Amino acid sequence: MAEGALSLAAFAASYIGFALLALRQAPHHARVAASPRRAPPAAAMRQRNLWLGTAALGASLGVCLSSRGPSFGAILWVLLLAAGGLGVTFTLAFRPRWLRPLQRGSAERGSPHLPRGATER
Amino acid sequence: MLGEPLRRAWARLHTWAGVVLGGVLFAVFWMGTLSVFDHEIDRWMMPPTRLAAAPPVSLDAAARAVAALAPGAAQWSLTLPSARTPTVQVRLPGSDALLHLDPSTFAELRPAPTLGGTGFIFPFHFMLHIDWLDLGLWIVGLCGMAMLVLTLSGVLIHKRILRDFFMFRPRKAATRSLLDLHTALGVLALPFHLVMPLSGLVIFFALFFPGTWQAAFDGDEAAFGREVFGSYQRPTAGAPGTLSSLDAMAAEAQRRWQGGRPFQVRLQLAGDAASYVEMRRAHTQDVSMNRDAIYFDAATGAVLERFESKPIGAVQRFIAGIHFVQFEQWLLRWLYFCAGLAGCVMIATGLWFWLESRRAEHARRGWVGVRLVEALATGSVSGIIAATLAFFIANRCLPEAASAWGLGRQRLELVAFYGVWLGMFCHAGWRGRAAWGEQCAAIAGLSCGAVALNWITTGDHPLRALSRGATSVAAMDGVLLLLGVVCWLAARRWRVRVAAPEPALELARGVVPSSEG
Repeated sequence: MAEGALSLAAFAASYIGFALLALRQAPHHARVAASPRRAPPAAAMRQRNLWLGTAALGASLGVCLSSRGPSFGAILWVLLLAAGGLGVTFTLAFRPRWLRPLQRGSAERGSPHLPRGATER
Repeated sequence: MLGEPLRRAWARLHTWAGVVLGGVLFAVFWMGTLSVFDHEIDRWMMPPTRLAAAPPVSLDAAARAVAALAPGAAQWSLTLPSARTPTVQVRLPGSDALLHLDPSTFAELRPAPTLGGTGFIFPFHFMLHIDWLDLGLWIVGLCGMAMLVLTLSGVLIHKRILRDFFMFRPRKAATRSLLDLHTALGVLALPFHLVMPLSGLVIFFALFFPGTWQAAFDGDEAAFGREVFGSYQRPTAGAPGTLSSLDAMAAEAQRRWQGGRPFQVRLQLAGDAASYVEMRRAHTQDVSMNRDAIYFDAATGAVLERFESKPIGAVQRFIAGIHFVQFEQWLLRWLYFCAGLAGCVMIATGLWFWLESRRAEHARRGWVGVRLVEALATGSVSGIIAATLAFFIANRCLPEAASAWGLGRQRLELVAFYGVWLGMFCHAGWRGRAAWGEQCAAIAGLSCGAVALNWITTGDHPLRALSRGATSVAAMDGVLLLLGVVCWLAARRWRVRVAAPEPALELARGVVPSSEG
């Protein structure tokens, strides 16, 4: 059960990590904001998302390795990366607004409140 | 990064290798994806073996049951129940058939003859059931190599791999959204698409790359076999012998493997004074598909030999383990299944993109290319899915003693598979573009039919199967229903699309367009 919860956390970290990286890109940024005229993501925000996103993906690896050991953990991480990345791709295609909290959290308030839940598990 | 002429050359390679081998690749991927759950498919196709998780089995009691089943057999092997196969499986000399015994009573369970998932779907994945000259193995090996080339060339020709990392535009023209989906699945599951063909080739290294072991062992196949497989043997003594406690040997093996359990026990030279027992270690706890074995003297229970792979062999077993997924990690098993399906969709969208981007031009010039490739692609994508479902349905419909044209029940299931597959190719050739949607509708009907037939013939509807511990049956029914719903939606969508065809993008032939559609 605990193993399942940790895997879910690892998936969440991979999803959030990829979402933050996707939001660095102007077309996705505009799509999530639902306004084509919105200014492209600021350099500071792009930088922050790069670090936070990478950290979230790294946290996902950490959770996988610590909960399932090096060999199963590594395989699980690679597959969860694919799942998280495809999850973000489909969210952006069909429900881009779902990612708005991430945009607000990282772009305007500047507080990295989302990945924390995932990284501390 | 890559010069334009070079990129075009890679693109041509990607396009034509994909078009020529896409159909076979899809078959290999589809059957491989199903093989992830081959034992679960066996449970579905062999209803008497749908038991709840087995209690621990006494090997001595099992050995007595086997002796009663085949008195005087000089050798036999038995496989202990596992989380995936809840029966004791026995193989007797002179027969290919695997007998299933109830783990608590050791009564023989008699499923109607079928090859099932492990006997048909899994071998199809790696040899296409073409025995002649190992041709099937070589074709799959070629596909593995081609998959590596396709994956790498796909990355090389992708102009804006980072900018389009998360790009999927389902509402744009068919060519645009198909290419988006093809590249998104290809790039995001890239490690999987590289590791699977590579590990598959490594599994069959002795066949595909014979130079490796021939050079190392000077062509001495026996020495190679001894070192890689650890085949211990000794001659008969010619005097009668006894068999001491197998449970004690299993306990000793477990102690030496530091908790690793035996999963298979093989008795050789039964009844002879030189009789010996081979215990093989289970693959459930590690990624590596170890070849660890301990040989015991049957009469005394003394250890004769212990085999463990040497370092290079151990690496090969680890890589094989990544491919075979024999470990008991259910989340990983499901993720493998999903990644396999993603691979299937990637191959199918690649083929569809080729068709959609050339349809208008070929029609204008009166070329047969698109028509021909479309028939082959439809037959090998939706056709093989429908054929697999026909295989399941035949399994649930054919009576136990069925025979026709001199073929037994087991063969008739295959007739259903290959007959429907051939029929789907013919249908695709006849109906052209409309065939996709019609075959999707057929798949939807067949998969719901398979679930209904399972309910009618065994009484196991998904909820009942779940409540009595036959999780694999419930899960398979669930996946079939999901497939039915998805294909029904796809069929409806396809009808709309065919009714209002979209203008194809202007594309240079053989070149993947830049990302702005």
